[in-house]
Amino acid sequence: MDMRSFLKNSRIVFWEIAFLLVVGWPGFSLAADNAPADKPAELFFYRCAGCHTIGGGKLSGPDLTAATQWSVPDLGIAVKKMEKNAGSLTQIDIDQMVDFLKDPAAAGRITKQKQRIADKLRTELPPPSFSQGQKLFRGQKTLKNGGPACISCHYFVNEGGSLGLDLTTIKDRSSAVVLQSAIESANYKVMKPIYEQRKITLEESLHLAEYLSHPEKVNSRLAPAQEQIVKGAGLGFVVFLALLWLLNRQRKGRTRENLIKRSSK
Amino acid sequence: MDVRAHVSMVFHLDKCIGCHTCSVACKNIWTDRPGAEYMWWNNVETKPGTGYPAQWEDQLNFKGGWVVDKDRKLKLRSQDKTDFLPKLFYNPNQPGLSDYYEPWTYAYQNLFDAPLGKDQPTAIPVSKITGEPIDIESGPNWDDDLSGSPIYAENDPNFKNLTADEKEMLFSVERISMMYLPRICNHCANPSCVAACPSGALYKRGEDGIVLINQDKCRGWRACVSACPYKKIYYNWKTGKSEKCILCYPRVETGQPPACFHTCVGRIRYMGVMLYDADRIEEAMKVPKEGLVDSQRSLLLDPHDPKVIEKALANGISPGWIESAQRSPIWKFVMEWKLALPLHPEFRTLPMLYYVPPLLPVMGRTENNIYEHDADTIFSTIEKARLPMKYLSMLFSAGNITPVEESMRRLLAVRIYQRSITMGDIEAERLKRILREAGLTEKQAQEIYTLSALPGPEDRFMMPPIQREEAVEKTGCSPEQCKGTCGLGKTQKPERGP
Repeated sequence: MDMRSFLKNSRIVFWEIAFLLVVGWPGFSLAADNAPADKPAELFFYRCAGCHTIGGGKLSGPDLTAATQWSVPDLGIAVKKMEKNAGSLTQIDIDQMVDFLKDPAAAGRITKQKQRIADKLRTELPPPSFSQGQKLFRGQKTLKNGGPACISCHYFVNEGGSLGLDLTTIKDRSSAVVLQSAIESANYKVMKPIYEQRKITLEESLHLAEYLSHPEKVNSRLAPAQEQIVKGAGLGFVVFLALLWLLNRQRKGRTRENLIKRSSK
Repeated sequence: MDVRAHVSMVFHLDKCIGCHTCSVACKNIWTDRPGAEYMWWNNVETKPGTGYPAQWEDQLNFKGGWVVDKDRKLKLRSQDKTDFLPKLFYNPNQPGLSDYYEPWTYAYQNLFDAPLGKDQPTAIPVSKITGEPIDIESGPNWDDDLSGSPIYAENDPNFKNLTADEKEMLFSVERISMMYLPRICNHCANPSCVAACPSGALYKRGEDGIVLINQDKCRGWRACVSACPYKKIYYNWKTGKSEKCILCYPRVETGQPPACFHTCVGRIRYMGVMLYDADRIEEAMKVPKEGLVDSQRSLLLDPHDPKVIEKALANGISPGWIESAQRSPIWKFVMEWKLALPLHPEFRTLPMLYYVPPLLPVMGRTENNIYEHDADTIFSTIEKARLPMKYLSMLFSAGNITPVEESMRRLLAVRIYQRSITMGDIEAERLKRILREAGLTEKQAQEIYTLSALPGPEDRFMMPPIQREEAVEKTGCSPEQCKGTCGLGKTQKPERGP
């Protein structure tokens, strides 16, 4: 190959590489993303992981490692029973779930699926923001569909209601992803009727999960309400001093000493 | 008409010699104890002077007494319900220790205990509050007999109406003069201290009008100290309660005059029952200040008037009290002769202690370096009195000269009348004219002279029959057994309040 053809060829190669780099990379990653989702694992992740783990210990519901030992019909009935918590399940869903639970590798599949979903969310949505989550939690920013702010029932770090769970240490029990799905589905006895009609959006749930995963970032010294009290007390003290000063100006002087002072002038 | 009885008083200032015997008698009986050292329920002031506490008459400073507000309503100058609360823990108009004085005694024991030394041991002054040696800077009568005149006498608040020239004349050599003003609680019929007390501890006794502080109820807010324009309520720093002149009620109840009355060397003090109309007090105290003396007189009821007697009996005033009121020397001085005047009626508290203003000292006159003594010069006119009428009117009639002049003219007429009797050097025509001008008959002049110059204790003190034994009987104790328990009633040591 002469020099010229080499240059020509290399130019072609260059453009090919450049094309591949610009167009193909996302193509590759899209291709990776579009790998068939592990449907049962995804189902478990979204619908069950709020309360159950497989090999991850007990949450609100039991660890389901032992489910591999159950008979298929029993397991089917058990899964069907969970409809009251997890929402309606089709027969296909139930069958898939039974198969999934019988699979000894289920735990690994969940982890994989979790990673996949996390990656997917990361690319599709704005990154979860702690401050956004905080605002949503406190109700300083309303939820898009009009649901009530978390703080009205839940306690977190040093503020909030006492009706719901204290969420201060929730991150020790559930990862951010689990939290996110739990928030989004809101599939709990009290939360369900409230949020069914006013869904928490995926984006909001991401922010909230981020917020709840980082209790250490919350300025734990004072809640805003307490902060206001401290500021108010400070202001009050200043006003009090000013008042004292004003009153002191009104105060009658030492009569006799003033007479002496005046006469000695 | 709501007729009430009042044990009322007259001080005849012409007779006061400023000996402070009254003050000492009072102190020995009532205020010779820790916390009360600085209290002078009775004190004698030299006028012109600033008094005790210094400049107490200056209500722009101390804010005591009543004022008529824009809506023509009688209102406390300070310490009413809206004024009291913001000043609850901080009262800017309160007299302080520097306005009174730091009470002291002398370290007498040092005279006996001092170690052997070159010099005589001395008894240095020590504070009665801290027990530490102090430099005495003031006292309860620091301006006595015009001492420290440039500081005290010249700053008498009653000089407000005098021009600079008049004031200068007053202090010029050969002209400077003074009078004494003994003061006790006026037992006002419209007491601002009672109105100001947030605890309801102060009250005016129904039967005799003595104003008292219930030591069990007093919580030491000191609103009364500020509200009393005469500064005759003192705060006891030991018991945490306020105290005041009690008009020696244990003595009054047993038919004796108060100690200061009893001990008075000049016999200047008179006591007797007056009847007054409680219904019209507010109305009468709202008049412009020049009219206050007259409106105060209009409240005092004639105890000989059958209508008044009827109403008094209906109000539960006993016939004994009414009879006592009819014989009262106070009625004569205040109403019949119109000699006695209230001290500072402009405070609008309706003081029930009246003062006969001093005629003496009249201006001396020198001719050929000899003081003249004939009737023409010494007793000529009241305008020659050394203390100007303007000044006396500031003290006794809220700046209105007329009542003071009227009183002085009568005093002068009595004096000239009496001179005509003893010396016979005044023509009958002139005497008649003087008496007529003063509005006196010869008989009245004689009576005034007798009650002023020659009264015995039974003339000066017309003590009402308080019938304490009846009250004692009601407690279930027979008067025989409880003889001597009248007076103080229960004697409980006052303690710092709850």
